[in-house]
Amino acid sequence: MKKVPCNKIKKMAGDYYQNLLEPDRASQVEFHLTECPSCRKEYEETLAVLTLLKGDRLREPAGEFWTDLSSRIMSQVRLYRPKEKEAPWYKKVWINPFGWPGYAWATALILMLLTPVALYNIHVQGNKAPMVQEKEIKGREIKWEGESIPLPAIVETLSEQDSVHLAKKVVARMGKDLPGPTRLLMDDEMHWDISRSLEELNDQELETLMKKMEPGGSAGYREEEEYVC
Amino acid sequence: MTDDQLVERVKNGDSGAFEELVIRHQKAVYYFVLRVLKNPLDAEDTVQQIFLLAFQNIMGFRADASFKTWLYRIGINQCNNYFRKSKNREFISIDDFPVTDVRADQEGDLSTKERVAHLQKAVDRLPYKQRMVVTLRIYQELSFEEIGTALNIRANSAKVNFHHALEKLKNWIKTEKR
Repeated sequence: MKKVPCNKIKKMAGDYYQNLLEPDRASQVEFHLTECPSCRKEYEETLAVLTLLKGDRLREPAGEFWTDLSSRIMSQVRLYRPKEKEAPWYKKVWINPFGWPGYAWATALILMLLTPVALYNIHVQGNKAPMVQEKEIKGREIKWEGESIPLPAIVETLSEQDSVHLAKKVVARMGKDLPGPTRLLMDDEMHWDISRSLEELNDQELETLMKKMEPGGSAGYREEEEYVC
Repeated sequence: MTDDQLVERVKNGDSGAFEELVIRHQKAVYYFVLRVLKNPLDAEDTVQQIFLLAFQNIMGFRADASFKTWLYRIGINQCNNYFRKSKNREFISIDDFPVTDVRADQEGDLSTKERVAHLQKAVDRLPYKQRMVVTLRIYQELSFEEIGTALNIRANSAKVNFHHALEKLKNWIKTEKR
């Protein structure tokens, strides 16, 4: 058998005394103990201590000791009643008279806070006045609805002068030549912000608008009058 | 029925199953507590307290350790409480309560008894952790893993404590012989 040095045997000795070594390693220790007097002596001393310790046995109690002990234990166990846990603060009656669980209260609180806000928003949105632009042309006030009304319909509410301006703007938008002296209308000469809406019209819509602008149309202007822009 | 099965029955309200657990483990627990406290009357009270605590906390018992190991853990805590409370208690000599019963041949009776008594004094003088490890390993025959669980230390630490304790006891015996 291969020789194992004493320091390694000493490391294994503890497990050897406790019968915790694998068989092949236990054999190594046993073989070493037969050949090494020093390790053998140490082993015998340790064995002596263990033998003495194990020899110290406690006196067996007399009579019905164990039966009495278990009876006393069980009588205490049977008398035991678990204490009722104090209710947490959020379940106390003066805070939570209905005994709702925490999540129910949280939901109710959130709804209570959000409902007035939602109602307020609905109320405000409902009563909100549509954008009204008041334009004054030569003392006349023109009011019409805002962007929610399509452009051709708005046209029918315009004054004559406004119609001229619009017509010239539309023609310029369509790239057509304007009859008579004229100049390109600038957006800031428009008295309304229909110019912005004009940019969004397609050709068909512009044509529709032009028809309304034509003499005799619902918003047409009279050709015999020259309007200087 | 295994201890784990009995514990499940206790959790379901069967106190009879707990009585079976008491009968199985009371002897081992009593001897352990007696070795630590050295006083049979206090050991009885402590054992009753241990099992009562086990019953009260049975719902929190998880099967990651054995019921026996869990009892020892409660027992060690109760012994610690005992020593904390009994600092001012009058010392009661173990001679007033002869609890050992050393079996030996007639010739060597006195010598062996004396040696055992001396060795026990040496064990009582060991540091607390080493004393617990020796008691649980030699007398209660727990594995180092179980000792580690009961003392809340690693199994390897329990092993090291045990070997250090043996070295101390060997040296003490050598000194006594001189």
